[in-house]
Formats: sequence, structure tokens, C-alpha cells
Amino acid sequence: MNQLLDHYQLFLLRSKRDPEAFGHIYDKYVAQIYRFVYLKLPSKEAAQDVTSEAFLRLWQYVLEGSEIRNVRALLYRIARNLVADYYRKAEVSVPLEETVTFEADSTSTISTGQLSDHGRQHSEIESKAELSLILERVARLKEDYRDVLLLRLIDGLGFKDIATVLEKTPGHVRVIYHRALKALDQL
Amino acid sequence: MSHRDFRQLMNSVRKTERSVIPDPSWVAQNRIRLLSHASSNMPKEVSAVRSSAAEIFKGFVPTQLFYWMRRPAMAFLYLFAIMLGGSFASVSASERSLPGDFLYPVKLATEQTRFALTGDSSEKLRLKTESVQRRVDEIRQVATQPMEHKQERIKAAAENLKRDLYSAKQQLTDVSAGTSPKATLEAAKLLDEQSSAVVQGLQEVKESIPAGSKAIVTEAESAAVSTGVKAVTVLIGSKDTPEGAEVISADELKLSIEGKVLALENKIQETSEKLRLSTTSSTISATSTVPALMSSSTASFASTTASIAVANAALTEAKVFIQENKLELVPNKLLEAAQGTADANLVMSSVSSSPAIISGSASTTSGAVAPTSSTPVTSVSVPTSTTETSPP
Repeated sequence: MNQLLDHYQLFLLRSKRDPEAFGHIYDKYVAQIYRFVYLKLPSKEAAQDVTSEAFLRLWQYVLEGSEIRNVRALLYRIARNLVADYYRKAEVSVPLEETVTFEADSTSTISTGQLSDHGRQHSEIESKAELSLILERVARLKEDYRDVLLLRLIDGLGFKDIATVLEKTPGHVRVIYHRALKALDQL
Repeated sequence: MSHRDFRQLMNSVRKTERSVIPDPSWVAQNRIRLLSHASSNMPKEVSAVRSSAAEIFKGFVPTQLFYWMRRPAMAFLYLFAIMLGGSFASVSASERSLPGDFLYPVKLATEQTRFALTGDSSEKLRLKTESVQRRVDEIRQVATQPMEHKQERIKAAAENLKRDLYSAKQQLTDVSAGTSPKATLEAAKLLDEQSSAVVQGLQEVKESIPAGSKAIVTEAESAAVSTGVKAVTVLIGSKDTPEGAEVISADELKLSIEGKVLALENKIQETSEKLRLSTTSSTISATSTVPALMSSSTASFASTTASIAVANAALTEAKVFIQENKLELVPNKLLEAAQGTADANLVMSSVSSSPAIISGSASTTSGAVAPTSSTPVTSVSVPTSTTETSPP
């Protein structure tokens, strides 16, 4: 049903030339994509930039008339590639392992009834440190194994979505996942 | 770093990732920027197909007639849209509902209707596997989001999951009876993949589940293992046929079996650890006036140990059969191992819920209550005025 609604929005966009349809897709996925990139990047601003760019790239796909079977998985794929590009650029020399920052205002939101800004910042800093430990451990695995493990166990994507992100078949992704778990145990 | 520590690390990072919320003002401003960019880049021409269709329409339909027909036709369409729109809106809103929500029965009813209206048995199995996945997603969402009556909601979702897994297993039998060998094998492969995904999914949320619903979730996990073993049995039966080789390679089949062995190993380890912790932390009062209860507790622990030993032995035999490539002997051993683990967990659950046996500084780390009945749950009777915190 989710994909059906997405395809309907794409249909409105292409046939009715209604930009609001793109707005609906944005509303649906912006938080997910932001969440996906946030801990992988050194700052909130970087996460915002990458998220914006992901939607601009999606817009490009729509303009080109490319077939889009799964909007969500495509967005994740674009975002993932953009995170990789971010670290490949010459001016960014900070590896992910050293992206823990102590900016006082690096939180993304103030919400009532939840962690205070300070508390949220502390947990996010901890998580970035934890993520770097995880990356250190899985760095010894093959790239395929690493990608599938992280997308599944941290980002919580389903095998079908992972297959679209990595441009493989779902069956292949499952096999990789089982092998990756085994390889992880042997590390 | 141990495997367990690594898993906990992953879960911790995932939890934090899920709690991240983008700045609402940035979201709004970015939306305006994006839509403005989209408007300025919108292609000017309507698609070629649409414009030629318009020309054809104008040529063949008399404009006068269209004018006179338009109003009653539109009135009918509006009425139809309102009727359909209402149900459509309910159905699409119910898609996101969770056990205990007002629209959850609508969600289940929609699934059941779709299932009932499908004639093809392979398609029915595919629908069932989708339902199974939805149940796991529901458990995950309830376990990881703050909400009231979590325990009851998870119990309801787990009961429905068990029911759907059982139904999927039955559906595989129907597919085997009525379709081509290749279709049967494809259905078995789908069910095998889905049941592995269920076991994995439930493992990943185990730590977030309240103690009171762990037992039923463990039962659901066992049901998933049993369903997966059934599917694998079908695949093993045809591994040397041309259809079998076409649907699943020998490597993939072996990997699937090894995945099940690994999952069972983890389960046995988990159960042994629970037993070890509950034995070291519980103390039996020396002044107890109910010797029968004391010996019952000791007997229960002995029974649990025996069940774990049976499971371990069966799994060891399964591994030997895999090495010797006697795959047709493996499914029964996997079922034995699964049953042994389930029995051990059941006994430990009933021991930890008995009030008077253990006194003093006793504490049970499992904290599980006695397992619920296996009657399928089609509606959940929890208060509907729950406070839900939906992710943005």
C-alpha cells in the first residue's frame, strides 16, 4: 500500500505537473532519511545538506523519467551514496571514527516530554562513539558483508529495500547477511 | 568484544538513530526551497500520450452530448468517491495501526478479505508471508516506541503472528497439493526466507520486549523455526531435481539450513544463560514448610536442564548430517532441537511465575509469566484512549 501511494504521487507529479505531490513524498520520507544520515555525518548541518541533496537527486530522477519502483529504497540508496561522497571530498578529512563533537547546540530539536537538549546531545555523542566502535569491528569484513549488516542491524531496512539500495536481489542479500553474521562470529 | 556486547552496541546505536528528529523549522524551510525548485524546473509539455488521447476524445465524443451527460455523471462519481473515499481512508489509516488501536480490527479484516478473495494458492501464500512480516513489524514498533499497555499489545501481535505462521504452513501444503513442482518450490523458498526473517526480527527486538510478553514471543519464534523447517524439508526433498536446482542452488539451501542451526544455537545459549542466572540468584528458603514445593522447583530445573541437553544433542547430530551431506535427515533434528528449547523455556516460565516456592533474596531474571493460550486473537481488548508517540 505504501508503494502504491508513492506511485500515485509520482503519477500526479508527471501527468498533472503538481509539485505538491513531490511535497507529499518529502513529508513522508524526510525524517527517515535525515535519521539515516545523521549519525554517519559529523554535524547536523552536514546531515541537513545531505538530506536536501538526496531529495534534489530524487527530483532529478523524476525529471529524467527514470523508472522508480521503490521510492523509499531509492532515497536510501541516494543518501548512502551522498554520505560516501561527503567523505571522499578533499576538504573533508575527518574520518567517521573521529566525528564525535562537543558542540553545545548540536541537537536537532527541542521536544517536550523527552530528553533535554543536553541529554539528547550526550546520547547522540555516545552513539557516534559506539558507531565508530562498530565500524572498527566490521571494517575487517568484506564490503558487501559490512553494507548489509549495517543497513539491516542499525538502519533497520528490510531485505527488499537493502536489495534496491545495493542493486542486488533480495535472495542474494539474505545469503550475504547469513554469511556476514557467521564471519562476524569468527572475528 | 563478545558477540553479545556487539549486538547490544548495535541495538543501542539503532535506538538512538530512531529517536533523532530533524529540526521542524529546517524541515519546513527545506520543503519550500525544494518545491520552489521543483516548480521552476517542471517540464512545460504534457506527455505525448496524454495530448493524443485528448485529441482522440475530442474527435469521437460529441461535445453537446458530453455537456448534458456531465452533471449527472459527475454527481454519481462524487457520491461513489465519498463512499469509497471513506472506506479507502479508513483502510489506509488502518494500515499503520497497531494492536490495541481503534482501527486495528479493520487492518486484520482487510488482510483476511484480501486473502479470501484470492483464488490462487501461491498468491495466498505470498499474502500470508506479507501478513507475517506485518506482525513482526507491529511487535517491533510496539516494543521500541513508548506507549501504554505494551505487554498486552505485544501478546496480541505475537498470538496473531503464531496464527499467521500456522496458516502459512497450511498454505504450503495446499500449494504442494495443487500446483506444479516449480511453483511449490518457489513457495517453499519464499516461506523459508520469510520465517528466517521472522526469527531474525524477533531476536533483534528481544531486549526491548517487556518481561511479561517474552514467553509468547519465544513461542512465536519457535513457530517461525518450525515453519522454516517445514519449508526447508520441501526444498531438500527436491534438491536433486532440475526444478529444485532452478529454484534454489545447493549453496543457498545449505546456507539456509546453516542459518537455522545458528539461530537454534543462539537460542540454546540464551536459554542456558537464563537457567544459569536463575539458578545462581534464586534461593530456596531453608525454613520452608512446603517440602513438596521445594522438590517441585528442583525437579523443574532438572527438567529444564534435560530439555536443553536434548536440544544440544539434536543440534549436534544435525551438524554431523550437514557435514555428511545427509540433508534429508536434518529437518527432524532441527525440530527436535527447537522443541527441546521451547520445552526448556516453558518450564522456566512456569517456575518463575510460581509465587511461594522461592523466598529470601530470590529473583528471577527471566521474569516471564506463564504462557498464554494459543487461541488466535482477532481483536485486542485494550483501552483505545492510548497515548501514542508516532515517529515523525
